[in-house]
Amino acid sequence: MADIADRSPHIGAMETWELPERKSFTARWWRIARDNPVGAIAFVIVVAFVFLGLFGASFAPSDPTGLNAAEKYLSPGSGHIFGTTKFGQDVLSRTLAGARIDLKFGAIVLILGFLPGTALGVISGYTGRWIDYAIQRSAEAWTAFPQLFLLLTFIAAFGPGLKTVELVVAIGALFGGSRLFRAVALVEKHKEYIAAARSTGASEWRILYRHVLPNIMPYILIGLSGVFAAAVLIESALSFLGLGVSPGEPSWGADLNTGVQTGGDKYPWLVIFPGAAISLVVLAFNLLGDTLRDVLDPRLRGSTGPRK
Amino acid sequence: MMRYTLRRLSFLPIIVFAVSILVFCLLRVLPTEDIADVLGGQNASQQQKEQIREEFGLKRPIFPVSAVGSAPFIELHRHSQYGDWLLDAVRGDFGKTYTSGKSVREEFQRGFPASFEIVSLSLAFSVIFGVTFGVISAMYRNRLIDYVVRIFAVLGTSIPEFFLLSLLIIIPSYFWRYSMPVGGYVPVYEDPWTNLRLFVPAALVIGIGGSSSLMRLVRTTMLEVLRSDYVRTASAKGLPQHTVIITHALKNAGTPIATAVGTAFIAVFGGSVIAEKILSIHGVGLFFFFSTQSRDLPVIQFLAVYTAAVVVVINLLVDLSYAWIDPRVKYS
Amino acid sequence: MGDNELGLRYWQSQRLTRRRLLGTAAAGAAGVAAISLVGCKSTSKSTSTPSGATQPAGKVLDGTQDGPGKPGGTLRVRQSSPLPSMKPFGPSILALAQGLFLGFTVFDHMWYVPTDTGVTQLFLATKLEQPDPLTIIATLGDAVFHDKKPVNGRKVTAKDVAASYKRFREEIPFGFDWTHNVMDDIVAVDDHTVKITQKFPWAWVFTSSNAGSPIFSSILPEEILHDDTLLPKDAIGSGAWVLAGHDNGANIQLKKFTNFRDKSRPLLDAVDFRLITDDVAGLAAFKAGEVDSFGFNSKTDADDTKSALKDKIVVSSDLQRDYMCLMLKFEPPFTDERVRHAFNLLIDRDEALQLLVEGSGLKSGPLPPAHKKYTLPDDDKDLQEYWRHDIAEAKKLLDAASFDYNTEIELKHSVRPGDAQLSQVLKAQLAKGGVKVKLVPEDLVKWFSQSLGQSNFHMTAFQHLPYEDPDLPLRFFLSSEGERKNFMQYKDAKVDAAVLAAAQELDETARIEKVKQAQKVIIQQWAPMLNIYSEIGYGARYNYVKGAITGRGSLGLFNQTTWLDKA
Repeated sequence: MADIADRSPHIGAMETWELPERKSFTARWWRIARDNPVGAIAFVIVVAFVFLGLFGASFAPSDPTGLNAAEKYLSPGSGHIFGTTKFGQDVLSRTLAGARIDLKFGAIVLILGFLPGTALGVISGYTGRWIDYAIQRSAEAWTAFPQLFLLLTFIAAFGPGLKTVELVVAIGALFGGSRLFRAVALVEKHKEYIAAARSTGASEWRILYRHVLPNIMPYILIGLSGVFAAAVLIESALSFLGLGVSPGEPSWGADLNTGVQTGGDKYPWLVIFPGAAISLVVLAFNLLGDTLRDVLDPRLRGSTGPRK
Repeated sequence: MMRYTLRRLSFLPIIVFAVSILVFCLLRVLPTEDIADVLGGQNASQQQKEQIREEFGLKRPIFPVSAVGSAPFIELHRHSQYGDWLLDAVRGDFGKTYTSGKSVREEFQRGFPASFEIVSLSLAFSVIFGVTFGVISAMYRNRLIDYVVRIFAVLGTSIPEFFLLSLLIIIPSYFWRYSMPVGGYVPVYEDPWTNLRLFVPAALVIGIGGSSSLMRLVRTTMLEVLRSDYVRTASAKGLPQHTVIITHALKNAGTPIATAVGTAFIAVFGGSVIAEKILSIHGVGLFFFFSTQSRDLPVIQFLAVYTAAVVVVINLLVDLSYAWIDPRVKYS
Repeated sequence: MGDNELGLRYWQSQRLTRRRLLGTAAAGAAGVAAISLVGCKSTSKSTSTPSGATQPAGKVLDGTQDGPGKPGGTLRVRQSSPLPSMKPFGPSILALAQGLFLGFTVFDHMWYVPTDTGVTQLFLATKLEQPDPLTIIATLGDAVFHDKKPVNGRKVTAKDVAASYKRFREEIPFGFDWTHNVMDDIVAVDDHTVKITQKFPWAWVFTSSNAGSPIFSSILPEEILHDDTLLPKDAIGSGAWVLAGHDNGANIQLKKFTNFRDKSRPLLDAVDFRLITDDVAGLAAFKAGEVDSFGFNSKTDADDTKSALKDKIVVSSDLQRDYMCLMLKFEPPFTDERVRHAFNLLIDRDEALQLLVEGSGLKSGPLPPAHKKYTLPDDDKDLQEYWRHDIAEAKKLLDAASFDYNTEIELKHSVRPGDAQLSQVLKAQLAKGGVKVKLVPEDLVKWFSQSLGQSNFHMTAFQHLPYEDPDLPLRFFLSSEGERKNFMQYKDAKVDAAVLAAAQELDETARIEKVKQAQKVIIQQWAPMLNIYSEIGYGARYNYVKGAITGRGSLGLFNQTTWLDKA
């Protein structure tokens, strides 16, 4: 009867059953964005960060490393929305320009550390035996130590400066990535499609490349966000301690440090804006990572966030 | 279990030994600059530089064993930098700092109480806060409190500790002209009020800020556990909820929580450098930081070994706690 | 007096600030060795007149201004870092810190020359004669050493004096200083007479940069000069203060030497040093009344503290003798005088003063402004040109010299906050002229020993130590010869001639003219060290601390006339 059909759409649907339309790529992602508004916002912030990192300096209203004695220590107001520093530099400009260092640092750690780490982890998990053992034990040993202490030790040996820091953090990312991907690889290893591929005579390398890798992609994306979050935190922590960037270069951590030292109680904007920038960007990466995890593999939900 | 503990403890010296060799290599073998170059640099004659090297003990070979080109292919040295260091170290003498010439151990002991206080207080707050809110969040899943806690947790991993601590100092000063007693570490038995005034707010900030991982983990584990059979049985038996939670659920969730607490400790321990710097507390963390800046090798040497020891002991404690929490875990 | 203390925390460069540098006679020691200074900070401080008003800056006080003074009392001073040892000499630059501290307290000297008058004040020496420009004969008065083993309070003789000077000469890590370059020999003619001979006449011989150095002219008992077991632990001298105790170089205690050659000095019974490494903690301790004096890092700190403590303290200010400079290595592109001139035109000294010290300071010519007797008058044409800031003109000069705008030039500096900030400002100012600068921060000791010391730089910016007379500031421009070294590796015959002429002019009036002339030549030749400014330093002491000597260079650091007006 008509009203039953109205109230029970299933009945009607069963009669005119058709394949659900496969939505287009953008439509799917749009749907994901709508379902995860927080993640979507995070994504926007991350994109903004990358954009600023690449082009930020050109958007700055004034030169972030210039000098302007007449405009020292202005509190936020017209002309300088975020106020000015001891040298009369516009805090907004410095904040925008500060993205660059972190982007670069994150990129280096990613390329030199995390990506090789994923490869290492996949090889480790896939191959097994003594390679696996060696790599995993080393990773455990390295990650057992507080990262900051490791950094300090290396800095004591090789001197301060971003290069040393990049090396140490990249090694950390290498080991971190390798552990993550080993787990993933182990899971994938036993999946059916691999057995299937093997049965068709595919070589191990081909299996790795054509089959395992695409399935690992999501985890790379998730790991990426974690790496950047950690990179921004570490770079700003070190610059805060004075062991990172060279003095004067715009960096959120260094600016925060200068702000605190030159009297954060008198000029709080020098502290608040750099700190907020760091927090916002790290937050965005973390949320993005969480959202990706939810979307791509709900099984991973609830696991601990990036190591501090 | 005793034997397990002892066996694990016996690894401690080996690990520490390995770390000390690695650090020695890192600090002395690799860098090309020499303290004599740096100190005596300008206009110092070769002879004066050699004298400086002699003073700092750098003229000895680095390791007790070194390779030589011809038979017997190895050479043993009675005095070597590492050999002498090791022999002294096992007796508790870790040499003198380059900066002040004082005994490394003394300087460490001077700074240790302050560090110990900040780390243990922070960890305590972290655990209390993390476990409590993790449990609450799990119990009231998807209600408002849960969302608030989860937001809090994400914020905690994102907002850097140094920012929070800086705000902790700045905000009271800016608004209420209240300044923390920074710079003066006073032991708690001497002046409890000043001591607590300095440490408690900072430990709260660090502890709560760092509790996110723990909170999330507790929440996840509790969620799993709360749905399990034995918990439902306990509830069905009519046990009061808090007994259910504490006696049954937490204990079963204990193992991953213990691991997370161990991780939290390492995190707080590592973060002590930043905390001490901002608060001007002269503890071990700041000692490490200054020594890094001055490339004070004996100190770094010692602190690396100390860190390794701490890491191993913490890991051991965490493993042992498994046995205590979960009777099914047995160590032979 | 007493107030700020500087700490040499070697390599703890960040802890060293301007306020903390004290002049050392270390020849050629460019503004580096921060020294554990004990006792009065020479730089700031004037005590208040009885009505409570602050002395105008620069007023000179000789310790008698508050009346006869009461003996007794203990002065408490902040010590910002421990002394690594009590040995006043050694091959490393660290020894300078000890030498300086002990030189002002435990050891006595034959004479001392205060910066303001330039007139030699006799200490142990009762008569000084210069029969010819190369010879100095000093007649010593009676004095005894501190009563400690193995010296046991015996008399001070000329042999002790001669042996001490020679020992310092052996141990100084620097090649360029008076004892190495100018002094020929020093002998004890008899128990009470010392004869010094020089290789050539040197007008500045008596000053604290030369034979009257608070470090190198310290008198030690002969028998302990080579005692390496005793020296690091205990300092035995004949000065006004006895080293009564210390805790591994921290919390040093000095007691009045009752058998000091001047029975009316010192007035205080003791001086106690409290180790407070952190600046903020130090200020807090001062505010809490735990130390009696303090040197501020900035005018703002001074103002804040004054408004907090009001009449309980007296804040004073004084033009410092230390000064900021930009040093260029004498190699392309800086061999072209037009480039040097252009760089000078690009430096905006007024802006630097505004940004770095809130305007609280004075621009510097080749000679820092604190040496008032010797500096060029403000309206001097050459000095005007030196201080001119003209970006357009600079660009024209650079273009004419075919300056390569595309290469980045390295500017090395130490990580001391003062040096680092100065470098940032200079980089930005040079950038306005199209010059690309790359900042290279370095460890303090590494910067000093290697980059500066071995002339391993293209440009470097730093703060000079507060030299007490024009000798050292001018000597930086002298070309290298023999053991003498020029950091910029600069060589100019005209500059050499002008500076040497001044240094060898024994008549003071004529010498003043020659020093002025030397400055003019330095400017005209655009010598590659461009001096920027000297700042005004602020300090404070509680109003019961009286009798300080201020404005007279480091003379006040001997702390012999301070007394406490406490019930």
